[in-house]
Amino acid sequence: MTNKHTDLIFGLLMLGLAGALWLETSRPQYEGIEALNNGFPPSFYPRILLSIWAVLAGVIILKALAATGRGPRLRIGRLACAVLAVVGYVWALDEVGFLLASYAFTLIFMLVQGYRNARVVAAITVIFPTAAWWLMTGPMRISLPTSPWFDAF
Amino acid sequence: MENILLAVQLLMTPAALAAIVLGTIFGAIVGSLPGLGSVLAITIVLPFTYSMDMIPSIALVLSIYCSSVFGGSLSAILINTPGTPQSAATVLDGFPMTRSGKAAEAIGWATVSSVIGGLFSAIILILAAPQLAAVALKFGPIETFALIALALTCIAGVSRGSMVKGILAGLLGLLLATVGTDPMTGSTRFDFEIFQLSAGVSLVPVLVGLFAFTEVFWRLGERDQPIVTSVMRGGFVVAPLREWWLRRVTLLKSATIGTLVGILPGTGAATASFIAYAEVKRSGAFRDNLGKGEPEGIVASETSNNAVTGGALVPTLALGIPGDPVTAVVMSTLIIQGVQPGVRLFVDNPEVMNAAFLALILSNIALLAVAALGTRGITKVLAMPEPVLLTMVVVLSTVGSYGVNGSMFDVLVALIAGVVGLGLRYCSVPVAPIVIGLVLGPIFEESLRQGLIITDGSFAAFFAFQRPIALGLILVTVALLAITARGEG
Repeated sequence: MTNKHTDLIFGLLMLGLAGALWLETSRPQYEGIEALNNGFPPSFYPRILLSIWAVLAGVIILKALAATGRGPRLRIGRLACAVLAVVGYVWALDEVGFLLASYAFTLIFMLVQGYRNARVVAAITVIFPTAAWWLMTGPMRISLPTSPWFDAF
Repeated sequence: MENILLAVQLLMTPAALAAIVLGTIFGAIVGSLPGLGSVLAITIVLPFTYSMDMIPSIALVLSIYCSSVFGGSLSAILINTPGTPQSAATVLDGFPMTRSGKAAEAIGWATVSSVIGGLFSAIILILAAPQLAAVALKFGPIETFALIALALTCIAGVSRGSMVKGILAGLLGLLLATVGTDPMTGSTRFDFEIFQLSAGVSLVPVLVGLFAFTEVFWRLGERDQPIVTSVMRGGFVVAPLREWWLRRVTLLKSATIGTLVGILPGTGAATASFIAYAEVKRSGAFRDNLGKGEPEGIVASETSNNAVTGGALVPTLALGIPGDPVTAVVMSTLIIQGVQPGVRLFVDNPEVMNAAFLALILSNIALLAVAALGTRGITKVLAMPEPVLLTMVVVLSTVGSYGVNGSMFDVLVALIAGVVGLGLRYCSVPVAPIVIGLVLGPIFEESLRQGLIITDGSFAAFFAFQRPIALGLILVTVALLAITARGEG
């Protein structure tokens, strides 16, 4: 995508977001209680920020019209797979617990990246999540999500 | 004196000493891996500091901070790729030394220079921070507001990409800080009826998302990935004292440059190392050999980039104003542990501050020991395949963001921040101002509202001659904005 298009889309998105958030600040909860406000309701400060935000978004849009060149080229397919793998991992953490989700994720994520050294993949898949789980639940005393089938993990 | 003895007592525990040693090793490893760097190194461990005691957690983060900057020099010397931008200038003479078979000597020069730079700046920090804090005690809400406005402008101005985008990112951070309960009125803002948002956005998941997840996604999406050449064998040989004596002026100059640059918000170690390198190129005793494997080039770069660590901590600890993302993360560690950096820090927690200073000195000494004993092992990590490394980063980051509150919501926040960070990076929007804005947001709003209450709602009073400090800071902010806008235009 050209820099002109990227900046134009970004500027418009920011302008829209500023507008949407401004609308949010017009809800009754942002009026606060007058006795506590000292003349500055909860919407006061966010609205200052949003006003500046909107002006800057306008500047970005204007500058975009004169922009030249191309943005960085990304491998969209690979990127989408990576993001999906992480989204799946986050979902699986809640469903099957840290250890089982991490075994699956470690294996899949290395394969998604095109890494095919079977011995290394197998070793890392088993050793790394187990070591991380032991470190967190043992010495670090951080409780991690557990599976519905086992008490320990 | 009593405070110093107490600080020694606090730090001389197995947990704190282990934190320094492990932090130094971990920082050197992560710092040496191209593209990861100091912020990611600290971000990965930050969530785990929740379960640690105060002093070990501060010692851990400070030692990672020092050693990760040094770690960048290992890959710069051995594989011609700086592990962190801070070590970019080290490549110029480090790799030529490796090619002529002097890798161990180059690492020796880099290590000792880093240690000297780090110790020099730690001493300046110990001397300067309490003085600055004493001056800053005179600051009222209006002065604090003006100071934060200046810091945010500096950071936005020197960030990668355009200044307009940098300021927009800072505003995004400030706005994120308003999510949750308004401290003055008790009303909730921007919670969108999501219960977890009523408590605000946690800093750690945002940090993990913006730095760790974004970095992983970006690397996977990059079309032109850096090709890592074969890793040369590392080692550690320190040059004779006579050689160091010949380069003493460069050592002192670079340490001073690094410390001063570190104190300025938004500049950072990469700037310091190039300024120091430029200076040695202008006036160095061996300037004719620079670029051909001259140790003086390594001395300039490594002394100055490590000297930034102590310098950058001066405004962070004394004023509560972090100058870059790394110090913002360091500051977060203190906040997590219930210590609020700023003007009251040296009055309220002198023993903690003395322990932190001592930890910084010990970290630099540990760096020397770790480099001497473990360089060969650390450099072996450089040969680790990137897919394995990135997988580990994702798992540790996920666990870290979960561990903060034991909440899947935080993991979700980290994931969203990662995807948003990816989009922002694609649009050339710097993410560092978001973090600084998020950290400073609550104080910024509080000082603005308190200032307006004091002045009966008059913004004009912020620019009055009766408040020369605030007026001066605001004028500098406006001048900086004008200069940068002119440069961009």
